Amino acid sequence: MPTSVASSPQDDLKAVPNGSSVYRRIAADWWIDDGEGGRRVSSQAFQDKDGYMSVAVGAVLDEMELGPEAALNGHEGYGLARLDVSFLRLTVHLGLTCLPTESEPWHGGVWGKKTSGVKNRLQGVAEIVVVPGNDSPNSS
Amino acid sequence: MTLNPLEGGLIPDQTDEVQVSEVNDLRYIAYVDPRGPLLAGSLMPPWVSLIPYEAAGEMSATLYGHWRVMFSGTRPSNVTPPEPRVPIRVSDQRTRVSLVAAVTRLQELQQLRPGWDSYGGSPISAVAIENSLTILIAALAKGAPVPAIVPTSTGGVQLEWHNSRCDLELEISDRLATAFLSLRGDHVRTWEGTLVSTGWHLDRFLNYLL
Repeated sequence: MPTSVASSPQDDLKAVPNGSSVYRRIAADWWIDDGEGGRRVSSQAFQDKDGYMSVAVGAVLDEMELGPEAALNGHEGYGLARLDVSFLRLTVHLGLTCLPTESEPWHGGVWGKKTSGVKNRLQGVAEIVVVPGNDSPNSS
Repeated sequence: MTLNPLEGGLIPDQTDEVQVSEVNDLRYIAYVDPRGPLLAGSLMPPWVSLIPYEAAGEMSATLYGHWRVMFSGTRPSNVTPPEPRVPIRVSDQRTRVSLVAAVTRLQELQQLRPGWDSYGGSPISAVAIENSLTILIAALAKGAPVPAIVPTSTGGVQLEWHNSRCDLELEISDRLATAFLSLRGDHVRTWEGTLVSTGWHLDRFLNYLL
């Protein structure tokens, strides 16, 4: 029986259900050569900040009748990666919660330590929904 | 002669004088060998040039904190440069070219603003840049290709090499470097830890890569 952090206050099965998706913005600086003639996302795209990794919660986007690209509003040049909630919770044993903000009501967090191994597993399963551009507006 | 990084194309013709320029409150210094530079380039600031160093063809270079990179040849007697923070010595053209590409990328990272990742990411620390450069120089000198050089949200730098045999990542901060190695093929294996505490040297990681 797979384990999870379901009993933790940092995991909300109801608000972020298994079978749904979360979306992570990908800075252009994280879009790199894969060494075999293609491109890949860097594992650093899945780093924590302030104890969790920010994502857009697909279930909330669905409720708001928004597509995942809504997570890119105001963030031109960024890409978007999709992660499967079941994989995060049941395979990598991470917790997920909603952390809505005024500007991003669909904002959520992925909790649990992101070791290099975990970041690489996330990199390996992430599905690129929008390829990052080459002209990140935050790069002066 | 004044070196102006905004004009580009700077290849001094013949001189052994020290070259000094102040542009936008930043100071650029180059020591010019009479034989002329092997390779020179104008990069939006700072200006970087590679200049021959002694007859053996070796070179030295110095990173001076924020923005300043200086590659030096023979030192003029009338100028005492500051102590190098990251001494560099390379002896072959391939490594020089690789080093220019790597330094250019590190300079790009140093320009990232707070929040560059859209998630409140920290600017990249100058110390992390210097630490990365030190490791990069060692890796390039051993024949490693130029890695992917990516910023971390916590203000560090990650060097990444990927090929059909393995994935090697070195995450470098102000204080330490951690390594992640994943071997592909029939026997997939992964390893991660700090470079210092494990006693694993860079050479051993690079052996898997090369």
